[in-house]
Amino acid sequence: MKRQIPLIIIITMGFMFVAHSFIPHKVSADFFDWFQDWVKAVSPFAVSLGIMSLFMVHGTKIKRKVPNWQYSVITLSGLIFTALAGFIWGTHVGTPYMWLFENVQMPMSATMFALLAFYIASAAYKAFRARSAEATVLLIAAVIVMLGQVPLGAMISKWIPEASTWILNVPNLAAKRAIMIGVGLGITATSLKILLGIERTYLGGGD
Amino acid sequence: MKLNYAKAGLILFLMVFGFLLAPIPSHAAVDTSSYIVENLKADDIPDDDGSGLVLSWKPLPKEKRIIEYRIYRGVTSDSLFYHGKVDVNVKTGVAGDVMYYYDSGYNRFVDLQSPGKLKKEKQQPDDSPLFGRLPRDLEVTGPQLTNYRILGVIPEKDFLYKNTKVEITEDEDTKVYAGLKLRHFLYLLKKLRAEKEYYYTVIAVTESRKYMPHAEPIIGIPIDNSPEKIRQLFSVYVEDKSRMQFEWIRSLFTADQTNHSLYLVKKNNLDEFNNYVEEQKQAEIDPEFETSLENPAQLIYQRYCGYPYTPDNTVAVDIIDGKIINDKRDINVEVGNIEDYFAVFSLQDRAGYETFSSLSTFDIVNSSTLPTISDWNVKDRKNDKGDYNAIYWEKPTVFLTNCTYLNDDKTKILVNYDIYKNVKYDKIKNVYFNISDESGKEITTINEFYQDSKLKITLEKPSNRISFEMRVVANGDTGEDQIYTQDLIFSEDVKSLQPGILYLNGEEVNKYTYSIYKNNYSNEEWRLSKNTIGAQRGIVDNVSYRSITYKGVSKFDAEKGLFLVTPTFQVRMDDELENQIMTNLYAEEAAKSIDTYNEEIANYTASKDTLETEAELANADDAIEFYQAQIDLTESNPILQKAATFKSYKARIKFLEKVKTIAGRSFKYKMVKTDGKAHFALSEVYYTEEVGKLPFDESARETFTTLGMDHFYPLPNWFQADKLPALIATFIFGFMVFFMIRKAKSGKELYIRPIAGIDEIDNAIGRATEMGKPILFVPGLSGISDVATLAGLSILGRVAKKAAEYDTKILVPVRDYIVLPIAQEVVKEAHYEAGRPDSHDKNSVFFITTAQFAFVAGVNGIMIREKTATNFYMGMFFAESLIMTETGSTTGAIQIAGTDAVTQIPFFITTCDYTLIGEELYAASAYLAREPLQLGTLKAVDYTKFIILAFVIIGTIFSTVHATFLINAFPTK
Amino acid sequence: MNKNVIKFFDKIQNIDRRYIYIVVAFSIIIPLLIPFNSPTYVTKPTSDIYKKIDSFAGDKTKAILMSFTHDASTMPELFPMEVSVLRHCFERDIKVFMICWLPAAAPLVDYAINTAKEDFDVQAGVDYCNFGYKPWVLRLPIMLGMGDDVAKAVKTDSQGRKVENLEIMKNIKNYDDLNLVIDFAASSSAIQWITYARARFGANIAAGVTAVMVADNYPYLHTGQLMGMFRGLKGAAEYEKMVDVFAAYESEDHPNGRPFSKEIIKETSVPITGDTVPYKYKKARIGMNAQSVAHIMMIFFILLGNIGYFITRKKEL
Repeated sequence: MKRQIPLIIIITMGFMFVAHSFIPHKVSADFFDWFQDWVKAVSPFAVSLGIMSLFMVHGTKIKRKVPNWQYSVITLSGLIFTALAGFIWGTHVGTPYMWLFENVQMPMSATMFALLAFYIASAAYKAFRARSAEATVLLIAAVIVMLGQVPLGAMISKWIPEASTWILNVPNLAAKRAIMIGVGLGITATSLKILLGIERTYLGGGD
Repeated sequence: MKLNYAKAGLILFLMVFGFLLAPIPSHAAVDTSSYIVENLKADDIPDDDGSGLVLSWKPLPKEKRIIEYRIYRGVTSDSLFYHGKVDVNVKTGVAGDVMYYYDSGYNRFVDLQSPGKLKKEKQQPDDSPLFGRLPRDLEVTGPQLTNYRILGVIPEKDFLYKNTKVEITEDEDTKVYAGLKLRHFLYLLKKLRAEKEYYYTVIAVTESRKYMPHAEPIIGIPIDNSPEKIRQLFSVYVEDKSRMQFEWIRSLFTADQTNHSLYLVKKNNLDEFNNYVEEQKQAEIDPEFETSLENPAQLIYQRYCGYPYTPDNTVAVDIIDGKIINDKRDINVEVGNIEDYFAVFSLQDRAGYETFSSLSTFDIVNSSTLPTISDWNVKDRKNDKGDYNAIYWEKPTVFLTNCTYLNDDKTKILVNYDIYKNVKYDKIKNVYFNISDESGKEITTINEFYQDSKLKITLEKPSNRISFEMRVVANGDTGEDQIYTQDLIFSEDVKSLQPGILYLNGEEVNKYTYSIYKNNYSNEEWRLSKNTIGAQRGIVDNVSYRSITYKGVSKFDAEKGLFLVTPTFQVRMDDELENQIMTNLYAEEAAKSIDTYNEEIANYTASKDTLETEAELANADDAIEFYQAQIDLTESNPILQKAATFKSYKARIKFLEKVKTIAGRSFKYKMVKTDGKAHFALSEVYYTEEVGKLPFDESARETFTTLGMDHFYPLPNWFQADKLPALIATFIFGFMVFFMIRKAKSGKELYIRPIAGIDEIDNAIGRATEMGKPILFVPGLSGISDVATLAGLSILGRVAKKAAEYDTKILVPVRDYIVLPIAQEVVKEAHYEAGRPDSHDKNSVFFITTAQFAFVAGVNGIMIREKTATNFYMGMFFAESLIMTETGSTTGAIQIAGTDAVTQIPFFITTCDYTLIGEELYAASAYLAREPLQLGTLKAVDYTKFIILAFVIIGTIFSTVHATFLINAFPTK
Repeated sequence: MNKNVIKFFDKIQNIDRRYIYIVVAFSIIIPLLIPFNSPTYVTKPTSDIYKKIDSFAGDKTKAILMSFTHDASTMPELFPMEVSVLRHCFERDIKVFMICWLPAAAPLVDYAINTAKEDFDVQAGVDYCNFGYKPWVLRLPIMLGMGDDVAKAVKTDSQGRKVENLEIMKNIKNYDDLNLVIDFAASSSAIQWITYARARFGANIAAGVTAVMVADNYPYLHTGQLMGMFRGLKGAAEYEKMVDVFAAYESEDHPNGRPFSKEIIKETSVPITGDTVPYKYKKARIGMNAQSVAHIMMIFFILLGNIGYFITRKKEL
């Protein structure tokens, strides 16, 4: 029973949503709105699950003094302090909470994001090697597209920017669309498997 | 190294907390008096209905770091309630010397989000008159009701079914009210009362959220003014039809208007008329002023205009036998030579003020110079939930939108075009272009059988003018009689060809605009549905399901926590749109109403003996007539009669609600085609012989005889026809799945292409076991509603099971907290299945954070500290993918990724050992499971893909040979 | 072949990635610190926007609307576009409106206005108007509503003033007047404008997007549904140049700038070294220098790696 009931809920709701996408009637639209309201109401409760997990994992680490337990202290104190700052002073502009957001969270995120530029450079260096015929095509395409982005390309030949646009628009877009079709079918198949109860791993294991 | 970690941790810890202390505002004393705003004033807003004041004050300088100004209002100077605020950018401050705040129209009074109790404003001295927002507490808020005009906005269902009957006795007179709790109101809105004194003050709030002292409260008195003058009146006299046509440009403020009137002023009466207008203005400014002059202008047209929508701005008045006659408005005017007259328009408001427009002379024309309206239709739009009517006319329009040179010689051009379709001609088959140059020599002809909105044209030599002749072939029309012409003209300014004016059969298309007006059974006024340009060929008119009741609120019952409103409501108007059919929520009160009407008639009849002036007598007669009409309606109206037969409250109200809904959602339409200057054509109200269906029992038709013939009630549809191809495809796919599963179950070996990444999963787990290091599994960064996450989780199940069998630790960091419990359950179950529940660590699946890059930092930290031997990335990834995998590759882990995020696949391919591309991610679970059910589905996907491919190829071939039926068979969305 | 050369390439093959990082860092930082002149080629999607905006010059019955759908994280690419469009409008006396859909975008709008307006005599509510932050969920009623009446769809501006009372609203009623909408975003939000404002009311739509989103918006540019597009930092640099060459150009013949012409832009180069152009108006071009150098460095590394690959492979054979 523990498994049957969720499965029944999934299958009935699933088919109702399939029907919804084909039925424009008010009844169907109202059902969807009603569902949306419930989602909005239920999902905030899941936040507490995340916080509980965080406390359990890091609490255990601190208690057992596992290596690097100090980081766990920082994580938990950061969590508590930010939450308290929000509760006590509010989240308006000019409060400690917003200060933390603007001066800690934003620059740190930006730093992580900026790492991307360096990683792309090193990944490109490793990847673009003329190891085989296909790899050579990839290499040439990459060089043309990169040159097309900068004035140097146009200075060498006015065809380089055009070729770059063509590569992006024709072969690249074609491959992209092919993958999208595959993905679309994969999504449909997985959804169908879930609807029919073939795929149940997400409920926890086999039957 | 370890010691260093500890030290580094401590330093970081101290740094974070050190920073935290910094922003807390220093408590050094500041001279708060310099933060009081100056020059605070409250002025009346002109041209309004007496509900608007504009506050102004001098903003504090930028250096004061002000973040907002808060406005407080009250009716006495000792208690002012928070009313609203103006946000300020701290860094830039306010640019001007004066800040304004408009307190006008209806704004928030009290609602569910209001505080429960009244609070003193923060950081103010004990004797401060400032309070927070008005609370929900009726003891405090109730008495405030009379200080404003309060409008309750109530969802109709709540008004009809959630009310409580309340009786109040005042001066021996018992009155019945419907009581509603605050939660039954959508909003309670308030408006200032004219001629009443209101107190205002403003405080500044600094960046560190310090509330500064308030300025000395000031008084503002809103004054009811005459309506705003319309911007311009145009008048046209159509000689051959002896018809006057008027059109005007509406004023901006329309809330307080009751009548549109048109007058004729004889040219030799002009001075007299001006004197009269002047006198009226005097009387408005000075209430003591006594008027003596009579309006010399002759009223020729008048209509009611109190609806809260955009009113019609056109009027046509026919002169029959030299006379204009309108019994309803008591108009009987003889008209002489039209050239002797000026036309003047007036707006009247509730207070009786009248504003005249500037005078306008007639433009005398012949009807042949006016536009004509032909072939227009109204119908219920298909494939919707029943909230749109479609209005459409004439045949599709084609026009050029842009032109650009493709080469430096200016001999190759790209021309963009567009088409306006409508619901009748919704499939465009061909568009023919005949293109010729300045000398009329043909350049080329193009047949656009597939409309991609662009034409590529090669010219012999650069040209400054290229002419296009265009024709549209749509379903059911060849377009032979509709030739559009438009030129591309070289423009000096842009040094390029630009589309010129569009002509249809030689007539300029955009010279005229269309306005569609609609009207229903709830009001006599026509309201604007939409304006469109002349090239457009149809509109859809929204007929919302949302029904709202508006009620004034002035009384309350603090004990029961109820706001009181009158229980009467309008069901609809009678068929002539002359009288409202009113009833009461409570049947017994409705029955009593006739007695009340009779009483009123008796009162007025009695009062006639004491009345002296003619106006007063006429007024009394009008009142008697009104009440008599109400009695007649109540006694004879079939709706009210039927309503009276119901015994239960619910049944009676349900019936009335149904009638009300049909009346409110049934519209008739008319159309005006105009040049904006009164040269217009006015359509008849649209009428069809075809009778519309009703979603209710047909008995409703007894009272709605015109329903579906001129009144259109949009119906909801049960199937969205344009999704038919999708439905068929779904069935084909579903059938394939069943067929393939059966085949697989029958023991037939199904071939599945080997996928390297999946084959390697076992080896990768084995490697981690050999090295004695943990496995890292990231199930994507998106939520559970993303199917990629589900696919990732099902792979997690297989991987965790294998890992449990080998007794290898698995770490699963999660970004989405809804995914967390599911992932935990999956891993736990996998351990049970593998027969190793003892080795399950419930903390191996854990939440890090929802912040994208912070999550990546966390995952990277785990890779480096735990030295994970194998990393899996399965699910949806965004810009962070490379940062994770590149770190993984530096730690020397084996990495297997799978995602359907097309933009991230290249990054995974370059940095991971194996990558599942797109659909392979979805196939992986079936591949690993090797069950017939799973394999069957996988095989079905393959065959479906083959069908799609076949369609793509066939479609390409067909469209190449001009056969577009296959393309057109699919919806465009 | 020289043994040392082979040894060098052998090393290059397995170079520590941190050397690459340091080279990338320098190739970005140095051009940012030391601007140099490099040609900026103007592409059609950018010049189309310029031409359209310029055609409204001095016309009090036309206006453009800038829609901000991004936050501070994509500012380096999008902000120079916004500033140069505003500069163009202020130079050429074009009415401009702004609206933003994210709370985090509201300060960016203010920042852009304040950056551009310092050099011009312009006034809020007269020459430009900021509608302020409107929630993304309300985009439908607002985008559709503006097709009917802007003042009704957007009731108040960012300072809480009634839009209908503002002087700038004279002659501005709906998309017929508010004829060009430019959506600045790090996503494909321009599609919303295409669906609601263009398909229904025929408004011209243009997009300013980050370089990674360019590919997603190409199909709309192809069909002409987008009349133009700023393609990442490059697009911003192109626009900066055009404003310098045309709108900010002053001579006796053209006291208020000169009209657009492909020929002039081909011939003219505007130096970004020196003080002729304030730093804020050449940010994108300086950024493009850094991008160019980084690109060239990467191409260089790739070529170096490949040469090394061939040489070492030969040795193995």
